Amino acid sequence: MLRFSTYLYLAAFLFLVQCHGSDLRAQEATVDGSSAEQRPSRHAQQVKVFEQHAPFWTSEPGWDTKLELRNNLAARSIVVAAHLHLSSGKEIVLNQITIDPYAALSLSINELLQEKAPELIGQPDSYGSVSLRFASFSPMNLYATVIPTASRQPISFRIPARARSIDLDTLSDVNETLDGIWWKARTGLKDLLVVSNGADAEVEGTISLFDAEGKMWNESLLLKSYQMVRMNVMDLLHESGLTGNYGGIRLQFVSRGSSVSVVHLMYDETGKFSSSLDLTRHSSNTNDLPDVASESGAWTARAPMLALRDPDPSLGLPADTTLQPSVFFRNTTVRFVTAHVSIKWRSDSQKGEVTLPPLNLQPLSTQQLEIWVMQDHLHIPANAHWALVSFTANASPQEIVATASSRNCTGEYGVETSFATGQGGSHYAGGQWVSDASHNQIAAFTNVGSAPSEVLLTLHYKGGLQKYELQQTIAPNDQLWVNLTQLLGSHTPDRNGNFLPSDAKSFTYDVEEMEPKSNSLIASDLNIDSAAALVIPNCPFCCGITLTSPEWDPDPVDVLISTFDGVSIVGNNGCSNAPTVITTTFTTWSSSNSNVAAVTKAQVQGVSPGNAIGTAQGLVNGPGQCACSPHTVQVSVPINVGPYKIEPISTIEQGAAVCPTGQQGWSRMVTDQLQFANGAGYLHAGIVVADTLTIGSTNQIGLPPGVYQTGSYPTDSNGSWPDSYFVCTKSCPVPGYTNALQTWTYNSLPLGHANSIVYKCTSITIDGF
Amino acid sequence: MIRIPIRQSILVVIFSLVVVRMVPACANPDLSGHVSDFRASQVSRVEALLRFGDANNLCFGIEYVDSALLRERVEINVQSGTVEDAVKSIMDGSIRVSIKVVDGVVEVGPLISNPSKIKIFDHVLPVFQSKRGSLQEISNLLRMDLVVDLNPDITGFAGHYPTGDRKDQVGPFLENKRSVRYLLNALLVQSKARAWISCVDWRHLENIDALRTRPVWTFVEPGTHGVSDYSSDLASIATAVESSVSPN
Repeated sequence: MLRFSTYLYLAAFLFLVQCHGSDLRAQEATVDGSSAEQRPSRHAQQVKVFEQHAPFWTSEPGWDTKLELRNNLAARSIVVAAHLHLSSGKEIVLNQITIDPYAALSLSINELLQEKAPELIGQPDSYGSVSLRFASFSPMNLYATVIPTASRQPISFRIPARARSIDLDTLSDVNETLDGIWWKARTGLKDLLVVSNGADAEVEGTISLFDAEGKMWNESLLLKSYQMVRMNVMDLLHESGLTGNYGGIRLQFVSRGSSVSVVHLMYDETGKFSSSLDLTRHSSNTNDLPDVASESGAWTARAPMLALRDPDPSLGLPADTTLQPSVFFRNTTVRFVTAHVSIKWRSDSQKGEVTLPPLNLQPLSTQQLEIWVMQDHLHIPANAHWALVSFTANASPQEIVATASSRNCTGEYGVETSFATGQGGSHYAGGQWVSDASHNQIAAFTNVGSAPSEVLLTLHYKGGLQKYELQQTIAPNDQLWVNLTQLLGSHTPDRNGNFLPSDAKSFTYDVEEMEPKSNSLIASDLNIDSAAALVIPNCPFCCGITLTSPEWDPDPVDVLISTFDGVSIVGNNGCSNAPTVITTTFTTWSSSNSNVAAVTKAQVQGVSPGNAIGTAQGLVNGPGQCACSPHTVQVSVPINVGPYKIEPISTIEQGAAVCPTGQQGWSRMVTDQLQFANGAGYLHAGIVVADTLTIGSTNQIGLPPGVYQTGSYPTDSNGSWPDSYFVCTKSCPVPGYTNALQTWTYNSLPLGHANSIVYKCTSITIDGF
Repeated sequence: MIRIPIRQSILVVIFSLVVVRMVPACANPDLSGHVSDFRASQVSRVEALLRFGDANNLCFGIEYVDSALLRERVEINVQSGTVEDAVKSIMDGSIRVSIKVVDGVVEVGPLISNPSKIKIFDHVLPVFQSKRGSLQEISNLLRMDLVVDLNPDITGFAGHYPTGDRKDQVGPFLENKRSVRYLLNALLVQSKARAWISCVDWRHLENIDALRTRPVWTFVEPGTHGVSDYSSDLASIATAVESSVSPN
């Protein structure tokens, strides 16, 4: 006899089953639903290991090298492993460095070596290249600069690290060329060309020197894995027999050239002089050239911060210093080129613009334009401090190399300025800015567009935890100048009413165009050490869009017949990795099969069931130093037009069918699903599907014609429904089979695919399932 | 006075609850019974009727259907009154609809214009026998038996039907000389379904020759798409109803 409590539990259990059975089933359904095909989220942020490479560090006697690192991400720390490659081939791995979001660190390599290899500090052969390895979303999430500095002299260089990826450089390693200018700024200089191989493989190339008229000398070059060589340009000039005060440098690599980094350093260890000259990098594979001019056919290169004869007091140079600004132009082609140069000057109270006569450049020649000599003739006021120098030419932007320099007559004081030959950008990320008794920063943000640009300058401080936001409109061809020390002293509230705290000394910054973004900003800044009368130019990083990131949204595109779906192209910001809609930059849209899907700008139309590939091509503003680097990018997406078919995706149960008296057969309960042609589920609820059955040529189990149970069914959100297939005949049990064709419609429109059904007395298969 | 020990009393209560839960969804309908206000917005009249059934625990056998009743979305605003008045109002007071309670089911059909012409649901099967099975499985068997009875030469069937709620079991049945309507009602009152609905336009129910092999009813079960959302099921029925008007 059962105890009362047993009855009680039994009754309670039955009650609960009755009451909550449906809830349990609902939970099962939820679990089933969640296990259904889930499309990956768009622009899934995958963390990968990246590497940046800087060609030079030194810990030679009297030298140290600072490693300046900035995390461009807003919400994720970056851990960096710095690998020092010595000229001897030895590699030292320094302790890992963690950089918080939006924070910057400045680290001494000598101090880092103290922990790992103190015996290397201050040794004559302690120099080489440095690789920075880190895991993040994009190689541009880290902004790294290597700053070799002499300890007893005001000598310092800023050398940006380059990502070893396709994003900054060309898209292949074919025949890479770097072009620059040599210049005897003064006597007694050390003029070093540092060439570093950032790859774990040999690189072969040629170094060529040219005099001002284009006379050439060259020599082959072989770099082993991670090898760095320092060449004295003056020695090479002596060897070459070339004469003159300036000319051209060219390095050419036939393979793996994108892994080579080059920096051209000039300094005088006995006097106050140090300068680094840029080299312009390009590939001879025209498919891989940055497409600066491809859209409009016109381009302009700009040097936004050329110091004029009367230096801005903010530069901290001695009061009586007079500078001698000049610009070097080099024609790297074997044809005549004409350059058109204009100068926009500004003093404390005035602005103006002058256009210079056309500059005719002989093949392979280099010319110096002495602005300081022309300044009066050009009616540039004597008290003008700065100039924005722009030029364009009847050549591609990579074919003309230019650099600007403003030095006093001894070469002791002054600054060099790079020309940005790329495209303007919408977002720049700057490294560490310091403001204290002897340090300041000046930045110029130039609007190179044709419409006013609303920009937001954000200063990150307190390790990236605090920010100060300055919003301002920049007129076309005008500049926003920022003097950090003056800004700190002005106690100006930002757009949120916040003030910069007086104890904030170290900053990183972002400057961004607000909507609509028109890629019209050029940015540059100067690091000023007034105690050493040293001004070091710096190029903030133009974030652009990571060239490998653009994708269609949605991906894949699922579209119904006779409907239009809007689509967009989304890429990731080269610095922050933030998804950014860049649809408007894509100008060519096409479909691999316009009978299935028609593709027009930002729109896909379903024409007939099936699959096609949609392709969009556009000029994407890739990341770059100083300016962005546009490249033609093509992105494709699978387009599913449909739905196309109905297929069983699972069997619920099967067994002997419930048949009329005298008949036997089989029943199979399945989950059917409405699908695209590629088998992906058409995940929409409430679509009514209906079918017809037609008996095939083989009918061994005796099905009569025309008596097929068909019907219409609504789909659930998974595009599915439970369906019970059955067969009953008087012939069963009997061996053999009967085949049939099941055609479907959805919402009364025909589907492209018909199911092949095989009925047996003991089984039913649908399309072989 | 009979004294029931408290422990047995608890058992009785619990078993009563269990039994109550096992009773199908249909209550014993009273067309003259009073119902309170009923409103439904932007639903078809048939869906409104099913929702009204949900609200008042009523089950329907709906023979009076056409595309408009199944598809056109309307505003329903019924004042409190009798069940019959409410059903008429929901089905559009201007149409000639017959409302009656048969075997525990509220049957909603066309008013008989010609009593001599029987409709497909009036067809009497000599015998209907089945083991216990799911509502949809037994409904499919009933359909096959009807087709065999209308087409004695039929030697077999193939096809498919909605699986429905496999735990919603009915039967076993052994019924002699019963109309299809009677058998549908019998299935309905044993199940958790809310209604059986004709898949044939009401104007064609008498055209039995044309209906010899096609499906003529669908059981609408709650819970397939949520208790109060029958729109997907009704869209399927509407498709079938429309094809009954234009089979080609």
